[in-house]
Amino acid sequence: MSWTFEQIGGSFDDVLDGPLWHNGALLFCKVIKSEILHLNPDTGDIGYFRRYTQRTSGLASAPDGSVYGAQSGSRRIAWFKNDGSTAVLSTKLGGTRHNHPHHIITDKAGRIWFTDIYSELRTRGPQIYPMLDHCSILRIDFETQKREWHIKRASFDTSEPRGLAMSPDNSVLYVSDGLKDSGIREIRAYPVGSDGALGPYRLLHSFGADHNGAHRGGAGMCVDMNGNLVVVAGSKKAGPGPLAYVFSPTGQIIETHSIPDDLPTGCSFGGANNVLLFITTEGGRLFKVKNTGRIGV
Amino acid sequence: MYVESASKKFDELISKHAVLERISHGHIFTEGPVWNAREGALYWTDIIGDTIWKWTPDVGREVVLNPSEHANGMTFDRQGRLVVAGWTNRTVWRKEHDGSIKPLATTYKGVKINTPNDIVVKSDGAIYFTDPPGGMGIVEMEGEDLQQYLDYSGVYRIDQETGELMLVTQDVPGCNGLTFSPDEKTLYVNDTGARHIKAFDVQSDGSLSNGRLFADIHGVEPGNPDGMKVDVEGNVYCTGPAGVHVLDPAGNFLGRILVPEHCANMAWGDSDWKSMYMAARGSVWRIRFNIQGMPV
Repeated sequence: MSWTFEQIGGSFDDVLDGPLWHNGALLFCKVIKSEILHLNPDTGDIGYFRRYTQRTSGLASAPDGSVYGAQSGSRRIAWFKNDGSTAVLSTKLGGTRHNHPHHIITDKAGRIWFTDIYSELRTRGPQIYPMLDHCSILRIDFETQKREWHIKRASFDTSEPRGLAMSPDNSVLYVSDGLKDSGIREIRAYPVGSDGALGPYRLLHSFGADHNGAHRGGAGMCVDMNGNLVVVAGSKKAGPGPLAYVFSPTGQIIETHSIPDDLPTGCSFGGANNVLLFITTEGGRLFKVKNTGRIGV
Repeated sequence: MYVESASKKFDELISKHAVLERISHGHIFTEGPVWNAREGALYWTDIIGDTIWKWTPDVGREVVLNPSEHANGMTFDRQGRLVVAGWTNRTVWRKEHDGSIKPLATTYKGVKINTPNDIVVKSDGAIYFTDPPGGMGIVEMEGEDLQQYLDYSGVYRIDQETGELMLVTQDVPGCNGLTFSPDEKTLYVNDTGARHIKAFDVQSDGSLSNGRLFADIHGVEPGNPDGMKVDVEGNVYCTGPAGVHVLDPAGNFLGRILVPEHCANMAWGDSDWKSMYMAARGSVWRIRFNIQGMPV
């Protein structure tokens, strides 16, 4: 199948990330300017969903039609409520403030999963609170008895988890771990236990190196209805270039497509019948991809 | 050791040998110091510690209010009531004599204000406060609503009679500390990000005009324009790199007080108003001046 990339709206002059199909529109983040935009992919109309979002870089739908955001700039998961206000969910893991949330997803049980990394950009205000000594996948459950949000550590072997996706049956959590030039750059599949605990991961893919250096690893990811995993990864600096990979659940590469901009950050299915794929890039471009032959979850 | 003079004038204001005394420690982020002359006590807030404290000589410190919803700048009005820039509850409020809490400002033209930072009361009872959005983004200062609705950082005036809120300027994007000159004809407002102080003429209706640059704050050490006060001669005291910077009424730099911790705000105090109390992260410090500060 030949994918057709169509760029929407020129350059946004900011790092774009966190695309999410939500209530009939595409939401995506201008990370540094701290804005969330909504796009009508049919008309091309673009407007604000939220402003002043403290470097939100990842979005997920909440059960009531509102949106959760990974607020890197304030080290918290924000809840963009339907009334226009913004609340905070739990911010501490075992009494320590977590790091900079990057991407976020929700599962069928209403649990929130997010990747929690170190950012080179400081949070606003005094730097009083030290980071966790690990970069992990964290999970927020709503504890119904206590009526409060509670954070648990989900991964104990990640080094820089970036993108997240859940298999259609919620039995597997996919993560892209590592984006830097050194260290781990892997796509992993963790089995999810009935209590949400992650089992030992299967390594789906490991990014390599060549005479130009290490290949940039995987960034954002999403899954299609058949359980195949779409990962946007790579760069022009080394390796096969910026690509959208489609992995089968067992880790076979079914297809790859060259992305017409460097440093892809996030991807999401969307549009009518969920047949469009949206891809954001660090350089500020948003692509609508047609003819993928795939339907998103 | 603590006094860094850059002028002869500064040597008149404070002895080179003046020392800092730490009167309270163990806090997280102190702010909003203000002297209560009726009680002979210093009040301050620990924003992240979420507590309003007071300290009385020979008594020590006591909790005034906890939780305080991350209260920030504080002052007393002419009736001796504590008036508070309620940082993350996004309200300017007053503690009444009966102990109850009365909100004085929560919205401007029907829109929720940002996060009130610092506050001053004019002799006619009008309250002026700065309203930057910083309280919505700072770690461990989370209030209930973290959404910014106004597209600017304003300085507002609350009329004593009507309670009406007047936007007096939105020309100080990083507005933070504010203080009147002794004759109240000038309002100084500093800008944390731009690292300078602006001066405005105060009109008879309480509005501001003729906004202009008063002084830049220089230095390489940690510290920014934040809290600001004046003495009876009109010298301006502004937090900055390394501690508290002192400027004459023309904006010339006179010298600095070097504070061991990142100083956020200060207050004149003691019965002669010649002590300066400095809120700096985990502690509150005191140093004695020769000059008298403007009483609250």
